[in-house]
Amino acid sequence: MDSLFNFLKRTGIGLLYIIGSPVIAFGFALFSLYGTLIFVFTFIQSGFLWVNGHGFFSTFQEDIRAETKYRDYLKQNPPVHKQNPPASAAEGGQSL
Amino acid sequence: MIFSSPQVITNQRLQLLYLAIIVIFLLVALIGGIGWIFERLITKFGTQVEMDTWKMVEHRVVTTPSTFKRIAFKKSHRRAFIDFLWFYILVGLGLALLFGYMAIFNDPTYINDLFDYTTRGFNTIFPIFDWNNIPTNEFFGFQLISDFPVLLNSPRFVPEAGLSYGLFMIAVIAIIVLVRAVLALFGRTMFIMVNADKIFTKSLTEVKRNL
Repeated sequence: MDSLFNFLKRTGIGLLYIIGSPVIAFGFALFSLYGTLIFVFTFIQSGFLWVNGHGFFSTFQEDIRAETKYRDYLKQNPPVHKQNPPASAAEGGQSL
Repeated sequence: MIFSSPQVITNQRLQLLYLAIIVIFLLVALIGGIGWIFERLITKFGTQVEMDTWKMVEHRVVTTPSTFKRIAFKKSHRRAFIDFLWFYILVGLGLALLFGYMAIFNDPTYINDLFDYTTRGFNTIFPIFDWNNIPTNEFFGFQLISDFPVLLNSPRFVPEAGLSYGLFMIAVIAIIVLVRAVLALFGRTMFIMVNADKIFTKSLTEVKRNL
């Protein structure tokens, strides 16, 4: 019954997709344009940085600070690797 | 005979009508299913923001929604740059192949034949139907399709159309890459817009539960 309800719901949503397809197509075109603008601006900005001897993508200060804090945290709380007990131990120490 | 003959025709018409309704229903369900796949992809691409920013949020380097938005959008744009770069590389490759071939072999008409199924276009490997002159008939006062359209081109391999096939494949891959890039950009943008405020606030339900 649940799967039938889901199927009918999906069909209803499919109908909404058909009705809203012009809006979806417009949104897709808009995001394609947005992506293209991002591509052009990032290319110019990062290219300029790269020409001036920096990396293509500069590192965020927040990333450096977060990484330092993360390493400090790992030093203070080293990860504990849980090892699976041997099969014999799991069976009460009696080997077969 | 007098009564049975029209009765049979009506039943056949009804059967056709039921069949058409079922086919349309299944088609709508299929579109709904494809939409579901796209919804899942958008949600999946949204989690890329989590991968890029979790350390900053967990270690309290970023503490305000506006800073989170600024950094998350910049990182999203970098990912978009790489995604769109692949798309433009494919487009450039296709154009370079086409114009390079036309220049090297001094064949300026190749671009006009790209879609032509009669000469050396990629459509030669597809069945082409005459959809413009499809047979129709009147059903219940409506002009509906009553038969298959005439086949204009049987799929066949044309060696001269080799470049067209290659360009067609590049175009298909480029479209897939573009759709992926746009869905990913949309998913990340939606994720940032929806979650930027939620990350730094506590729901009252949770506060009440901990009282």
